[in-house]
Amino acid sequence: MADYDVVVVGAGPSGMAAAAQAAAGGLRVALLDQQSRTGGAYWRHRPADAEAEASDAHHDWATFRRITARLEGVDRLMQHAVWAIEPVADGFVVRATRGEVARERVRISATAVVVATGAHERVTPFRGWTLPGVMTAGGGQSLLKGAGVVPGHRVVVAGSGPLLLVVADGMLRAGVDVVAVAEAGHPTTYGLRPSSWSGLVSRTGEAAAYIRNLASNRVPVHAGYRVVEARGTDRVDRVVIASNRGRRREYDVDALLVSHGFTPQLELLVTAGAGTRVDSDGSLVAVVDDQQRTNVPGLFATGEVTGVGGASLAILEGYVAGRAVAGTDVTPSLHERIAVHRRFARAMHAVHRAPSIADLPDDELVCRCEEVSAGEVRAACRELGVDDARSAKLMTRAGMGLCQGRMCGRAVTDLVAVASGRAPDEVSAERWAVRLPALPVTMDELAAETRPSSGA
Amino acid sequence: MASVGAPAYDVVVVGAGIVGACCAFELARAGLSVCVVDRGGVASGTTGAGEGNILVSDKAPGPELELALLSRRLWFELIDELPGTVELEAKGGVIVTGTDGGLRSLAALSAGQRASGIEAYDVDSDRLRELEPHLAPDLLVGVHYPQDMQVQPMLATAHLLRRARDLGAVLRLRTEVLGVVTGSGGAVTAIATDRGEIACRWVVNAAGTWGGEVSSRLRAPVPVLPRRGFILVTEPLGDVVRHKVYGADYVDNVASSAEGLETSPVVESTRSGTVLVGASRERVGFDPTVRFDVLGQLAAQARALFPVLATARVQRTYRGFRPYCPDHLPVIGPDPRVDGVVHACGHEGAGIGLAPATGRLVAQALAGTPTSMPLDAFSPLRFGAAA
Amino acid sequence: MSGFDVVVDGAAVAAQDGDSVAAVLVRDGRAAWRRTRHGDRPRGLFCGMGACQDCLVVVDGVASVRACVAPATPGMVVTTSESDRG
Repeated sequence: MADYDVVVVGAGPSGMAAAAQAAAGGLRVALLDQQSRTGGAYWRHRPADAEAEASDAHHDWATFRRITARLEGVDRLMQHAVWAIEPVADGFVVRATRGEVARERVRISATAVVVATGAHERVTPFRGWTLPGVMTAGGGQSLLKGAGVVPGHRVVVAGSGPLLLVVADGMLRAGVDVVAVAEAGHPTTYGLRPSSWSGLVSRTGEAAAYIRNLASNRVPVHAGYRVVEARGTDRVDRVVIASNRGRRREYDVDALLVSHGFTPQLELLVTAGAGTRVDSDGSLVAVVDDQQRTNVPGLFATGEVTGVGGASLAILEGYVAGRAVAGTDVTPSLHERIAVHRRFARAMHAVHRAPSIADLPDDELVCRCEEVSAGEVRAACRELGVDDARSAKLMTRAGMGLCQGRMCGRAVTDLVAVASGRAPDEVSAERWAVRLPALPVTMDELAAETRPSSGA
Repeated sequence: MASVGAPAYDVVVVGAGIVGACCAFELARAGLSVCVVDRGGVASGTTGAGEGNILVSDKAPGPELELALLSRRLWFELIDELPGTVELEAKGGVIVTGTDGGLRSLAALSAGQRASGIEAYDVDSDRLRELEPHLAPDLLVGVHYPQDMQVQPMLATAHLLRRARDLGAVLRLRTEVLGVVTGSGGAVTAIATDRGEIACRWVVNAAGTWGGEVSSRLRAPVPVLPRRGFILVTEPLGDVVRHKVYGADYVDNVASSAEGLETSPVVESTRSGTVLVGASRERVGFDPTVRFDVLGQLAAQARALFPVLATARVQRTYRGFRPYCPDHLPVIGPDPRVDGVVHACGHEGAGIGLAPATGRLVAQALAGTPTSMPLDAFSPLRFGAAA
Repeated sequence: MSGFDVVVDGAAVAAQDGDSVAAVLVRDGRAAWRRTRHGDRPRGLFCGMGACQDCLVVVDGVASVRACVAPATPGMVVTTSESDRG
């Protein structure tokens, strides 16, 4: 018999919902995450917060508490970093490393698996983006929510996407001097698409609250401005933003929080054979049916990995998968709510586009790990016949470092697309998501694999 | 039908991998007009899935060794020609063993190799420790092959193609060969592709692991089949491995399974500081599904050679499909069955090393000049009815 | 909120229950704690969720630990001046 009826990988809002729902259906459930606590990035919290009934510092905290209560019968395996999911005869083998320091080999068998691994942030490189003190908006937020630590005392929050307002507001409440917010898109265009309006109501209400708070604290919010440079020697100390018409503004800072959207973390699904497609924001996502099933029997995908759309959508999808794996019907209204969220997500994608890579100077790095510059990638396209992601990687080493292309993959794809005249999809976004192991594993851990994986 | 005014070439080379690139370069240098086609991009097949080895140490005396020695010399000539760095390293190889049985087979192998002109030096355990300080202490002796080399195969291919283009060759990527067009006399007049016909007098099948499929489309079938291999890549490490190191002992898995799984430990470092671990062989067609136990065997064997690798982290694994023929020799030379078809594929795990000689021989064969070595052993007709 | 000490480069640094190692370092005023292999560039926290592999530290003798994932524990020994197993 398998160790569990269902293993849920990723304990963010989506995974928590899936695990809770599957457990309610009477199944034996394990919920895995590489972090020390549940919640993912959205509900990153300090241990004491879990006891609080309400919290200004967190969104929908009541929802977190409610779902947590329903995880009573679920084996929560924290500090388990899953590096591969293998379909076998009767289900799946889930391979994980327990402990970021201890690095112990873990192997769990399951009849079904739900992958809810979320997304990491996407940053389009700009001059100075690798300076210390420059971090993702979510990264800065996780310091605050997870430890009560501010990333800096004087910050600019820049990029594109609804996360910027959320993070700026959070920083402000924590006493950080938020000197400016720069949004590269023009959010007023949300209203142009009637099909997205029904999702807008609560969202625009939220957004309005953040904007009011920022305004009452005299924080300028510049729409149509993108970050073009971070300056400093050992740490960022100045940020330059610019509008499309070339109007520039500069700010003294000690941290820059930047986000240009999200890149779903798909490698476990891809390795397991799940089909993928390119979503309206250019992200590679898993293809699922209305029960959140992938084309691999018993393998479900929920949340950002099926399309970047926020926590509420992710939770709904988690519920659907949890019911589907337990064989319970899903009410039609759940599907309708999911459809509403997806329409709104598409509207967001249309507005919050990542800036073009074309302006990145040749001497600026595109690959942080291997320290490959944009110029090297462009030269490889010009001189070595590079016209796709794979050859770009193998010729320049971009994407061959420890993060295996997570931070630079999309930027390298865009550079190659511009240089070769091919569409990004042709240049092949999927290559970047082929990662086995999903995270580095020691030779000892691998060497323990001795028998062919047959049944569970 | 070829469109009016479409260019005609002397030669179409099918395959923009290392062998196709060497052929294109040699042919262009000989003054022929060349068009290289590939259904993918530059080096999108097995060329980019291996380790970039240029070896003599793993070759038994015979035609393959002769080809390897010729090819190794040509690599040095090529380096002078190529405009950019291809990271050629004459790092040398070491075969090690810890058993008496291994000792005996190593002695026999190296004696034969020396007789054929390979430099092979017996090394005792002290000397072994000098060559490779991190080798497991229980390894007794080995043989050092200073002539083994490594190159970055993607860069080498790209730069060779670039040189070929400087000499007039044309590169048409994302173009798939569908068939061959012959004239009334039976000689090749064009190849058919998914983007139209390309008129030519010769077509070189340098399609690597897809050489069998392409050869069928050219009506001159040769039995090139895929042999899957996995490679582990570690995070960048310090000075752990200096040469290409392999174990002479085949640890409990010269298998009798249907897939013919074989693994043999091979460990080497790269310029970027990562360590590559191989090597596995399986006959599973083009099945890309990973076998975790095979990865496990590679890891265990590497750790047995270099205990310090135990806590090193593997950041990536990848697989490739070596092109092999039933007798493990490549197919090189004109195919008498279709006048104008020339083969240059089936190099199994030695394609990088053997590519320059293959390119030279193909160019010589096309020009009708004497070839640097006999092609009989590589004949496309040697397979009899099996082809 | 319970607190404890960890050792960072030989010195005691305050940590709180639930801190990641990265949080400890940032609270201690650091924006960078590692240098890159080729360009010797300073790096610290970037993505904050274990994806970018920039925030690596040595913990209790184990190299390449992601500071934003590893929880700080009492008496943990953190070394930040590693230069990537040069």
